[in-house]
Amino acid sequence: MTFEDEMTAALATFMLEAVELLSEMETGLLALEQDSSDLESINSVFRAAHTVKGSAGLFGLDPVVRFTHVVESVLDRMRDLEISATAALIGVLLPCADHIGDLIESIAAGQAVETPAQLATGDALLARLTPYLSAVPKPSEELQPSDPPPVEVAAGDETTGQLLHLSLRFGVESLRNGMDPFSFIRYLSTLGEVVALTTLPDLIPDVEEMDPEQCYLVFQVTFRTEESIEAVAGVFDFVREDGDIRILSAESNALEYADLIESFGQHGRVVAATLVDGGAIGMSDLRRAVSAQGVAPSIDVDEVSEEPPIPQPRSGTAGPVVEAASGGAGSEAIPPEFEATPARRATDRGLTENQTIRVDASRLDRLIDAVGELVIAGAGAELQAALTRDEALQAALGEVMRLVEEVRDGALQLRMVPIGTTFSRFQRIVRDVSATLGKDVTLTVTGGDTEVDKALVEQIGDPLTHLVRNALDHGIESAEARAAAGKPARGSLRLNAFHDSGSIVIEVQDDGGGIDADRVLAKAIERGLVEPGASLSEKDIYALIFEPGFSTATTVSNLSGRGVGMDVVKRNVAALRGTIDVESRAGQGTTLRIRLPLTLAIIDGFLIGIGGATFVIPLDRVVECVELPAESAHRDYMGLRGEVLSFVRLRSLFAIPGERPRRENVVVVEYAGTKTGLVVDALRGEFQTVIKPLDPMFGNVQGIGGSTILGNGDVALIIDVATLVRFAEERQRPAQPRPVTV
Amino acid sequence: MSAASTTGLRLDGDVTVQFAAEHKTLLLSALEATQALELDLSGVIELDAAGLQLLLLLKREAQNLGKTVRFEAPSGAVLEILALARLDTRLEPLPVSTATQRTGIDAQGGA
Repeated sequence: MTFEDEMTAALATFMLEAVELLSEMETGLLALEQDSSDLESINSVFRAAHTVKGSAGLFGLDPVVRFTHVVESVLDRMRDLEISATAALIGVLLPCADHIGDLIESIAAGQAVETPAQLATGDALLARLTPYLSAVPKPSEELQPSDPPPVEVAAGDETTGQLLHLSLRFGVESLRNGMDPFSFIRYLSTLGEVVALTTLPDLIPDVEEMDPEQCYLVFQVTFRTEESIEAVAGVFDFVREDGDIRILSAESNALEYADLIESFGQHGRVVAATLVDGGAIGMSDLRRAVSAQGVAPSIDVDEVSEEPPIPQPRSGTAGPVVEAASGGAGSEAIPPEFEATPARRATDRGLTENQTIRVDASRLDRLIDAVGELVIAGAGAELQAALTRDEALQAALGEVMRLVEEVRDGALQLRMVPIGTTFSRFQRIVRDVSATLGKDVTLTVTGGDTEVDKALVEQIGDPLTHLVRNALDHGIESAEARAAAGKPARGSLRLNAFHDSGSIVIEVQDDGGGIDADRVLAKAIERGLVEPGASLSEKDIYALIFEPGFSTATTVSNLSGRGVGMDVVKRNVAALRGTIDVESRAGQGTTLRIRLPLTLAIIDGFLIGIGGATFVIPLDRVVECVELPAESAHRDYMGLRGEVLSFVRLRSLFAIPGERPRRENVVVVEYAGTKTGLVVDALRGEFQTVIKPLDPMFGNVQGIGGSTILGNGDVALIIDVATLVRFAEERQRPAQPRPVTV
Repeated sequence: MSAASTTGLRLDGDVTVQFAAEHKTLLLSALEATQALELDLSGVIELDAAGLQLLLLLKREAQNLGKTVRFEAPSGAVLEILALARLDTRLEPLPVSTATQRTGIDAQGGA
């Protein structure tokens, strides 16, 4: 049960990685389509396929291994420059990558064998790949561990196969490097039967010297398998260099056994016992071996009371059997970034790329939460220190706070990822969709390194896909129409991202025909969304395309035009507390602009006071602060340098009791290009704020984005500027201001 | 060895290399403060080689000091590692004969 859970978890990790690798492969192939001589891309595509195959082999996913192997062979030839990355070849390889993804996905869904449809697809693709395979298949050493399929051996009967003795001493750093010996033992048991295993605890040093992050465990394994000794050795490819892995068989000569025992110094006796117990070698044979070779005279296999010999240096004794056996199976040094999953062990190239470590998002959240508390506690401590007038203490605390801020910034950075990874997948979408539509479109991506919260990146993918498809389908005209309009035949689509006052803005821009406002309006009237004769601004008309059930496409294509999509996009964006707006020029194109909050856990806030209560306004929303002019005391607007600024009185909005002070202040805030004033009693300056989300119980409270704890322990509410700006805008219409209670 | 000097301690979550340094300090100081340590392993979600060797160290250290350590209610994750390492719940080696069981995963079934 637990073992299955473990496998499920490892498999889940593999799936995740496979998705990433396949997208890497796709990116590489698309890059090759632009520049067929790009060696780096060839290598990255090969590496991705190779790793997928290797990992799939570890899990015994035979259909994946079989198919990917052929793909890999073709890529290998490409890498050796035997064949070139022609457009035709890439046209075959792209669907191959999809097919691999499809196979893996169906396994994830619990499907054990290929469906007939998948088989047909696979066979068709393999047939298309055949011309690219070399006539004489050369013996590929990479085939070794996965072909023939490694699993299914374990279940066999117990009397066949050869008996091996494995001595597994992992490198001291293997745990730090994320390689858990048990992962290897687990995988080993898929190749045969672990007849006996002894965990030797004796090599753990004394309490004081024991470094808990180093690996001291040693395993002696008696193993029965039908696999070759090379295949078994292959399991340990990644740890051989740092550890001392030896595989002995019945054919191994006595010297090797003696050498193994000797290499354990004073613990040799225990090792000898495991050899005999496991049946790898007979007691008398062993004794004869030991004495015949004249090594380690102090080791007596039956006696326990011998004085331990002086431990031998381990260096010169690295398992000769294994070295010889593993022969060509390249054992490059393994990089330290390996994760603690067996899936990753198959990567043996591309050591310097993507040095990443996968961390559970909830752990990150906990860290950020703790850092948040630290910031608050630090502010409190600073406050106390200021009261003592102890300069040394204050200086020391100042240094601590500087470091705390550094930690805070670092912790927040952990959650931020560049949006480029999301953007890059659109190359493929644009390529495929425009091919289906018979249009020629180039995608330009800018601002890909704009960083955004990971959770946001994951959720913005689908809405963006809708927008891109929509732009390709409805935005960009056919080549003939473009030619008639005097535009270049090749359409252009642009994805852009940038930071703008605490938000991230993502733009999808096409150079198509633009939105026909008249047609949109006509359609809206036809659908009953708008009263006939209503006069709407251009902006209002464009906003109609986000209404449910709205589509102006004259023909329904299989991509879009069914009227689902744009309203879903808007809903998704709104769920992320974002907004979407449209800018369009007839004949010149359309820009859809999504604006999302960065949703950081910590922001710089601006403290304001109303009566006894303190509120926080995100500092990046604050434009300026002015005194409330006397003549505006009884109005909801004021003049600001010749412009009219409407404002919201927070005191009445939040129903805070108490008299209005003699002088009130207006904090001018801006959201999405609209300025609004917030009338407050007092301005209290800047404060670093940790956003604590409101309890779901207060989910329907509007105008408040969260809460925070001040240095003195008081709670302050964080004002949601976007809502208030919208509220002020809506109030311009004759509607009654709706009081918001907290 | 009196009952009064027995201390209970519960290990939760991942007993893995990531937390090995903390756990080492925690376990050894707990042992130092008591005559008999009862370690509740029911909340262990993941155990790796680093965790196992810590438990082995703790057991040996207790023996050296003439104290006792008992491992209580091992979780599934703990049992799986024990099965792979062929150890029983006292962290003593399982007899070799049990190794011919189907998979050796059911650690408790052996011995």
